Amino acid sequence: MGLTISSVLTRLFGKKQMRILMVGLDSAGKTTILYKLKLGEIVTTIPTIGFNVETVEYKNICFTVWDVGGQNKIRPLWRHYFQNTQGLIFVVDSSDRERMDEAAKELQYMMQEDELRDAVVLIFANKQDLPNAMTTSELTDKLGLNQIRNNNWYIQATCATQGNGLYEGLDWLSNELAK
Amino acid sequence: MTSKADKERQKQVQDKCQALLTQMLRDDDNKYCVDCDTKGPRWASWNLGVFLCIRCAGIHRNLGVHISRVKSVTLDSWTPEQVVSLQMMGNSRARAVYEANLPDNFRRPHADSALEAFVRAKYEAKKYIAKEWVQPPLPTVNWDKEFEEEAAERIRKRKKQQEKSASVTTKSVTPVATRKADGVVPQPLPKPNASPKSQRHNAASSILSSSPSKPSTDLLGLDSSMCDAVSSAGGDDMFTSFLSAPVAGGAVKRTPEEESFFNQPVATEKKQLTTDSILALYAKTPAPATGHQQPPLVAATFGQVAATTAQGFLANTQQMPGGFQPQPANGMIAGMQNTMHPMMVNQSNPFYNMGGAGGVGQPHINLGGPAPATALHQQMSAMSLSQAQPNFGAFVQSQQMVPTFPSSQNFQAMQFNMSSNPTTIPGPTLSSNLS
Repeated sequence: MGLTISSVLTRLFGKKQMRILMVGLDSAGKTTILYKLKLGEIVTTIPTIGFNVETVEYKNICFTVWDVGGQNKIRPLWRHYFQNTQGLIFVVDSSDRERMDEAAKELQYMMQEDELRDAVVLIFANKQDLPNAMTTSELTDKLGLNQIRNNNWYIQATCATQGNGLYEGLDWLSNELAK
Repeated sequence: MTSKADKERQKQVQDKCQALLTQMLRDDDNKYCVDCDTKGPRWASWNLGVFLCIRCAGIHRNLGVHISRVKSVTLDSWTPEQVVSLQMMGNSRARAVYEANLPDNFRRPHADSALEAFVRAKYEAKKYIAKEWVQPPLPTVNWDKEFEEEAAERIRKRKKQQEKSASVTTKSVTPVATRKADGVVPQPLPKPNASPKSQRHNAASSILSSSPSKPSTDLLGLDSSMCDAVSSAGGDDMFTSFLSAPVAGGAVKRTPEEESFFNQPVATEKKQLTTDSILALYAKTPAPATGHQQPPLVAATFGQVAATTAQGFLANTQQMPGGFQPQPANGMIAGMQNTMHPMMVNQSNPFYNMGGAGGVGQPHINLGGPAPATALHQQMSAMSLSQAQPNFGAFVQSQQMVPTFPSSQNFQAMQFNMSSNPTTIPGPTLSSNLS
């Protein structure tokens, strides 16, 4: 259904649509990323209880990005957003080494979800500016990305507050969409 | 150990953590955000040991996890270590430590950027910190023994009762019973004028060894209130905070220099806090406040109401850039439906477009959608207060939905509404208080 609509829209306006779900542990920087992409500026955020959704246009693709709160007890709600998701952005706080196992577990759970079998997975290794941030290769190992069998994935180092890496991530997503 | 027993133990730990956190939030020390004085904090930085409002929680998260580790009291699960870390510090002690060198005439900023600058100065640059403060290592907590003892105690109690029913013999001695008998009036929680170091030690020891067999003398009266709270988590009512208002210094031994250091700043701080909140009320909500000229001393109750109202108005101006439509009475259900089919949610839905305009500073208001609402208490109650015609019906509704919810603050807020707005009409309800 969603795909039909998007293909109709594509024919009408020549613009592709992509539905993106952005999840990750609390305090990873999801909302900051969303509004950096949308507004190009850093907004003062408060913890997300519920979700934010914005459309971001980039390279003639209209990304609808859903940003869902990451607190422990509201993570079970993520699955309600899985349907029709074409791209999953998983955001991690690269400096939070203590909780990397927790993040890995959440990602692994999601990768077993049937509804996400066709989704491409972009990992934002966020907060690269903070001291002691893990590199993408460290994170690839820690998050067990090499164990992901069914989905295409890509890890991108980012610093949302400076805007580094965000559009590189979108580039990858748009390339995947074009495939 | 089987996985079932594991799960049970986990649940036990979670319940205990939650009970301790709820108890801490009831304490006068933690009734206001440590950084901005907003009433009813529901967030915490567990490594710093402070309770925060949601706005300051956002700012703390910007500092990075090497400085502050933020969690929601209601939306996150906790480990015993994190809870004990909060127990050992708390807002009053944290102010004594992190605001030791705050200028006397300092006024807490309220604007977003100024508040962030203050928080950064306070925790990142440690500009006002007490020079002699040494961050103690995180405690290691093991509640296994305690749980086992509790279980054993329960069994013993049951046996005793059975014996009793057979023949009336000696009275049953349980730790709960003795404690209740010892202190009908709950003991005050440790006051900030005690040394943080010794308090840390005490808190830890009381957590680690609040077993009934230990002599109570070395626990310095700290455990009785705490354990009371734990053992009778449900039975505690909203008047506890009144009863446990400052009574006496207790038997805490301090060195003179510690005393001089910790007595001072907090005492002034406390006073400032209540007067500030009243001033805030006069500044922002002129209408309902008139005729409520109360001396600061009475502010224990009035200050809370005042702050709630002030917060409500603040929320109104800051958080609702667009015309806010209160959710209909079954708003939570509607919200859940949104959750189920996010695709179906029309983009013109006011709930998530509300903040989307950007530039307003907070484009991320999350009123639609899943909103598992316990942590929205604050926001939601603030909202009901902030409507042009404060909505008495909303409170009634939410209380009906969640019998356990009415906290003292909301109850008071409600009374306040009743008295100051006799013309309240029942209207649409913000019924998001499912817990």
